[in-house]
Amino acid sequence: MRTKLFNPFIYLAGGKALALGIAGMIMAALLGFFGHSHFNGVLDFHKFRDGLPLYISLAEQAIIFLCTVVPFYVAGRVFSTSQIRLVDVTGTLALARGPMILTAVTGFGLPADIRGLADITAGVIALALVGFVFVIWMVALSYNAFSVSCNIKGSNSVSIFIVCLLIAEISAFYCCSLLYPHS
Amino acid sequence: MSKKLPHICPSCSSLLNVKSLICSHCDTEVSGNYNLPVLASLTEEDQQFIISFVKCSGSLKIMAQDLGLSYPTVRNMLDDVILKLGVVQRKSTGEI
Repeated sequence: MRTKLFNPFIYLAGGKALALGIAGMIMAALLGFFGHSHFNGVLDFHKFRDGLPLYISLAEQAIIFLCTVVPFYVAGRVFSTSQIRLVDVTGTLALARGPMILTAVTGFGLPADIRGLADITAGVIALALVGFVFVIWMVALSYNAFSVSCNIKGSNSVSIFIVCLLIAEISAFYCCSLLYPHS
Repeated sequence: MSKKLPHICPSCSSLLNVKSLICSHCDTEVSGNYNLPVLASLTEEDQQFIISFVKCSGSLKIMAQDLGLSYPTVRNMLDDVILKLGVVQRKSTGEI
């Protein structure tokens, strides 16, 4: 059970994982659109008072995914001694973003504006924590996706993963910011 | 109960050699000092993996389907076996 929750890539990778992952990202974008929330980075999730056009929600997902795949694939090509396949790296990393669907669901219960301490109710804190747990789950899945698809194990893999995740986060955050007309 | 062929010395962890072989039909015994074949030096699990690999004509895709595992998982298992084979070969030639 634990393996299936945290490392489903032992059983599923490649094209099937990619198709499922893309479906998941579209679902997260739709939930974000209807719940007036959005993802503007690999690890970022925010509420938006007026909501965003659907095409921006979808474009955010595409940008985040591309910004994630590129550094991890390059790292795999550089550090792995195995013959890695792009379809495995993209497929597993796409599937690893699955928990973002649940994070997007929590967006329905979060207020768009928090103006003071009075707005931070126990329910809001609980939902934010639940959303945070899903983000941690996504990070754990992403690590296993990288480790399995690129065959990089041990302490080295953790350092490489952290560097790639930081590059992905910064580049995705920057590229997403270009989408918003006011920025 | 199937017996496991020991290949590592319990005392010094070196590779074991074969000292004698016996014919189970006529009890003829051959003594000498023979190296274990490289494949016999691998674990039973690794040997089973190699047998499956050969049976699948070396297709990792078919093997992944048969084992119910993903392609990169099977490829990683193969890479691990290749690494182990390298270590066993270097040990048997005295390089390490």
